[in-house]
Parts: sequence; structure tokens; C-alpha cells
Amino acid sequence: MNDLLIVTWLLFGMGFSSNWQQEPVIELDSDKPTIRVKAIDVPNDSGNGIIISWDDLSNFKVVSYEIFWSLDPQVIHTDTVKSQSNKSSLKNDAKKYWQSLATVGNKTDSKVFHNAQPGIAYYFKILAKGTQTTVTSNIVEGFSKAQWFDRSKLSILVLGGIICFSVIFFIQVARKGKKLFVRKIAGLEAIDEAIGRATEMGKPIVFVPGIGDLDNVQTLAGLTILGYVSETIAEYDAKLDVPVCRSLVMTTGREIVKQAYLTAGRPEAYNENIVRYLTDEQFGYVAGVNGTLLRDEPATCFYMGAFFAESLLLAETGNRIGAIQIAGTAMPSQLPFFVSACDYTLIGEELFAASAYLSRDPRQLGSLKGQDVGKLIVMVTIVIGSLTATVAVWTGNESFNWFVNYLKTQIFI
Amino acid sequence: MRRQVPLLITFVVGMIMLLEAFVPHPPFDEINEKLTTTFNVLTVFAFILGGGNLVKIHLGQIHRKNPGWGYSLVTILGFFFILVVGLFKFGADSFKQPLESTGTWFYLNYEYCLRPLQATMFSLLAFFVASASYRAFRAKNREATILLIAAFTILLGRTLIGTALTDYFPGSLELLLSTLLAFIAKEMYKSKQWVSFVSLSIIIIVVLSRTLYGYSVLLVNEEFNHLTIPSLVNWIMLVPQLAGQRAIMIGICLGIISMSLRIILGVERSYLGTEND
Repeated sequence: MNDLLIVTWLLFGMGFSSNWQQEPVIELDSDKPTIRVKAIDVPNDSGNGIIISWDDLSNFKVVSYEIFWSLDPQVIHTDTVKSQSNKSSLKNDAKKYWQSLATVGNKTDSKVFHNAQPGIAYYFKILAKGTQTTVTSNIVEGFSKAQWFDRSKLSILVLGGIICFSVIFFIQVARKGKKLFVRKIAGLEAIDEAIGRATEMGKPIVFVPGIGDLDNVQTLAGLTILGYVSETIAEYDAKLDVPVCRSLVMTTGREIVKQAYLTAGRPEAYNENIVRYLTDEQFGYVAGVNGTLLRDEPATCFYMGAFFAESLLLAETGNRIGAIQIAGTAMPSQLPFFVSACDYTLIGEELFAASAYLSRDPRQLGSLKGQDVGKLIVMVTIVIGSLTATVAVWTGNESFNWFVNYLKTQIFI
Repeated sequence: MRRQVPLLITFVVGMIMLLEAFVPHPPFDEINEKLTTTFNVLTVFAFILGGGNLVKIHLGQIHRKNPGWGYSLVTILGFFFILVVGLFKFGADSFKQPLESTGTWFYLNYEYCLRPLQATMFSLLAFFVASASYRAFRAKNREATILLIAAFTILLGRTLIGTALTDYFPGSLELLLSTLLAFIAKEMYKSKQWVSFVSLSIIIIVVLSRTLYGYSVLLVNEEFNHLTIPSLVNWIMLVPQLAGQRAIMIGICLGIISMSLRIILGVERSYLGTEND
């Protein structure tokens, strides 16, 4: 019956008009639609999404599909055609008129409706458009629901939980007085030497905490090192200069330096202008710091924090004036620049370990030990994954392939 | 009390942000966005402090006629010029016109002063990269030599020369590599480093066998992918380079977890200006 209708319409359309706007929509038997639509809730979301998917069983060549939604299933079907033929007549009231969600190509079989409200019933239907024919689907009801737990992140929760637990466990172990071994970090060992050199030469020390703001954990790591550096500088009676490019970093930096001078017993040597604001502008900041480096010729430069394109501009200028340079960042793309231009570089995790390493606080050292458990898990997984992938290639066994894919897609997303 | 309150706020906010990562249900779905907005608002107010500090320091420099006070004068003039031009919308047709619209003094200053200055600073990077590369790639030791060879290969492979050098004769790179390795193996043999000699010999045999197999495939008019400089470059970028970068990334992620936990639990307090209660 459906085929007959389509053929009739094709003949009719070919004979009289090629203008699709005048084509009537073929009303299909709603019990046996040729396009079957399903509407299901988007999993693991805040209740804003419904996935509309369809199976096209019609036997004519579809050019595109148009997806419609409404808040009432009783909206009459001809409104669709009306909205198609004359866009100006398309009303925004979803209780009275079908609203066009999107038009997609003939190879697409699903679309997500993003503007759903949890618990409200939405109705969807599809219009399949051919060169001559237009076919409608059945109308389906769909609900969205907000989830309390994102199941796709279960593996992250478990792995993160294990690592967090190990960190807390080793902090407790360290609190009880157990001695923990931490390997030497050359860059941090060299801090005292670098400050001593500047003191002997009577030249200032420049500390650059990066261009990140206080919401960046690298900036926080840099500021904790600033605390140690400024305390040592206060003890040695050297001159410190901290140009910053964020106002919040300036206020926090001042607190840290002030406290360091107090701890060192030299509050009179503290000057508020040690930590000074230059500009938020990336290259303006570089120009300012480079100007300082070339004019004051500091003996030692520290670069600790988040750096971007300015890393090499700063480090090369420091290198040119012959300063001892110690850098630390967790930006992988900037590490090669620091390694080539600086005397010592704290690579990634060493920056975050610095405060624990320098303070020698057993609780902080314990957290480093907990971090090692995470590394152990990663190492074991890499070895297992590599072996399994190799065996899968050799044997072509599907189980091994499944396991490798599971690791890739479920565990390490 | 002065330190307990910030520590408590840090703990509560830290725990909420942890929950936000795993709970998509309202109100957690919007917390990140709202806290970011709050942070941005705070930053705007903090900018007044920053701007005030800038003016104070440079006015002091000018007042005391310190060396380089002329630069401070330029800074102060620039600062107040753009502040006044922006606040009073100089050059705008009406006060409702957006500040960044074409024709305003603010726009002209941004387009014809600030952007060229930024571009100038950024373009300096090319020269700094050249000098840093020259220093990094000097073959001082074995590691630096490997780095130099890898860098040179990548430079070649990213240009047309890299393709042209190895495409004219199939297997030319494999034969060249085998010859080089044979010279090194000969030195190993002379210095009786048997493990290195055997390892290199195995590599040479494998490379040559693959080359010969490739020729036999080509003879029957089928395709065979001999090693070329571009394919070697792809391998360097996708295997050793990516592996190294991922190792650093894993370390960074673990470091961030550990540091964040120390801050949330109040073990790390130095950012508050003290390590003691």
C-alpha cells in the first residue's frame, strides 16, 4: 500500500510539478511506518539531552532528513508542510506547531536534542525528503532525566580513588615518623647555590611565576617555591625582584614574600615593591621582564609556573646576560625551550614535588610516595597493554583485541 | 582563625569541584561555570590593585628620577591615555557604541599600536629558536648527538628535499643506514664490545633482509613501502617523541593530583603566606 502511494505520487509529481513545496506529505499507516523513530534519554548527563534515532525502511532515495519536535502529539501533521513551504509561518510555540530541530544528510541516523527539561514529555518525528517524495515517520515520546553519577567516569573514579587513597595513606605513614626516601632533584639542589652566587656578585635575583593566574595549579606550585627562595634570599641579604602579570598573583606573592622575610628574621628588608605588577598582556609582560633582565643584569633567574610562547623569549634573554637559570613548568611544549636555554629544569611533576622537597615536611613527602603508587599502576598497565596488543597482532585472537580496546576506551579514556 | 577559614573554604570548594566532575545532576552541572565567573569577577577587582601598583611604582621612578625614568613616563602616559580613551569612548558616534567598534580611538590604538607590538615580540621568537637550537644541537655527548641526528632528520623530512632524497631509488635510506651501522659495528668488533656488535649485526641483517624482500616484491610489479625520510620522521614523531611526551604528561597528571590533594587537605599551606598555624 505504501509503495503504491509512493509510486502514484512520483508519477503525479513528475507530471505536474518539480516544486517540492507543493508536494503533499504521504501519510503513512502509523502502525507500520517506514521510518521508525526512537527517542531515548542521553545517558550520564544533566537531563538536557534526548537522542533521536531512526531506522529508515523506506525504499526510495532519501536526500535528507528533517527532525521535528513538539510538546503536544496532537499538533496536526499539515503544520509540518506549512512550516516547510513558508518559513515565515513557522511558529515558536511548540505546543501548537512542530519545531524544526535540524536537517541532516541521508547517511545520518541520529540526532541529539539538547534543550530538554528533565521530566517533560517531548514528541519527535522525522521527515524523509527525496527528490520527489516526502515521507513522515511515526511520532514518538521522549523524556530526559538527570543522572546522579556519570557512569562513563567510573574507571577514573576507581583509579583516582586508589591514587588519592595512597597519597592520604602515605601522608599518615609519614606523620607517624617513618623515614621516606626521595630522590635528589638537581634543579632544587641548585637553588641555594644560585642564590649564593647572586649574593656574592651583588646582583639581584629575578623570580618569574609564569603567566598563569591563581586558578592554575602550576602558579600555586611556583608560588610555594617563591616562599622558599625568598626566605633564603632574605637570609643571604640579596635583592629579589618578582615581576608578575596577574593582580591576584601579585597580592598572594606579596603575602608569601612578606612571611618569608618574617620567618628569616629580616622583616625590615621586606619591601612591598619586590612583587610588582607589570601587565596582563602576554608579550607586554615579556617586554617588561626582558627589559628588567637587560638593564639590571640579574645573576640568577627563576622561571616557575605556567609558561607559553614567552618561555624561550625570557630564557634566551637570561642566557644572553649570563645568569644562572632554573626553570620549572608543567607545559610539555615549553619544556624543550627551557631545557635548551636554562641550567636546570624541573620537568613536569618535579615542579609539583618542589614544595615537598624543599620544606622536608614529612607529610608532604608522604604525598610524593603516594604519587609513586599511581606511577606503579600506570607502568603495570602499560606493560600488560603492550604485551596484550603484541599477542593480539601475532595471534589475531579477538579476546586480546577486546581487552586492548577495553583498556583504551574504558579505562584510559 | 585567620588561617582556619581559608583552609576550610579551600576544603569545601575542593570537595565540591571533585563531586562536580562525577555528578552531572543539577546543581553540580553548573558549578564549574559559576565558580569560573566568580573568579573572573574577583580578578576584575584585583586588577584595580594591579593597576594601582603599576602607577605607584612608575610615578615613584619618575619622581626620584631613577635611571630609566623615561620608560616609566612612557608607561604612565600610555596607561592613562588608554584608560581615558576607553572610559570616555573617544571617536565613537554615541556612548552606546561598543568600545571595540571600528573607528573608536580604543580600536585604532589596539589595531595600529598594540597588535604590531605584540607581533614584533612574537616574531623575535624565530631568532631565539635559532640560537637555542644551535646551542642544544651541538654534538657535545652521545645524547646531544642523537638529538642532533633526530632533529636533522625531522628538518629534512618536513621539506621537499627529504622526499626527493629517498624517493629516486627505492631502499636507498635502508642501504645508507645499513652502511653506517656496519661502520659502527666494525668499531665495536675492534673494541671487543661483543654485545653491541651482535645487536648491531642483527639490526643490519633485519634491515637488509627487508630491503631485499622489498626488491623481490617490486620485481613482480607489486607495491612495497621502503623506508623513506618522511616515513622515518613519522615514526620518530609517533613513537619515541609521543612516548616521551606521554610519560611527562602522566607524571604531570599524578603531580597535579598529589598537589591538589595536599592543598584540599590543608597539608600544603605555603600559598597562604605561611607553613605554620
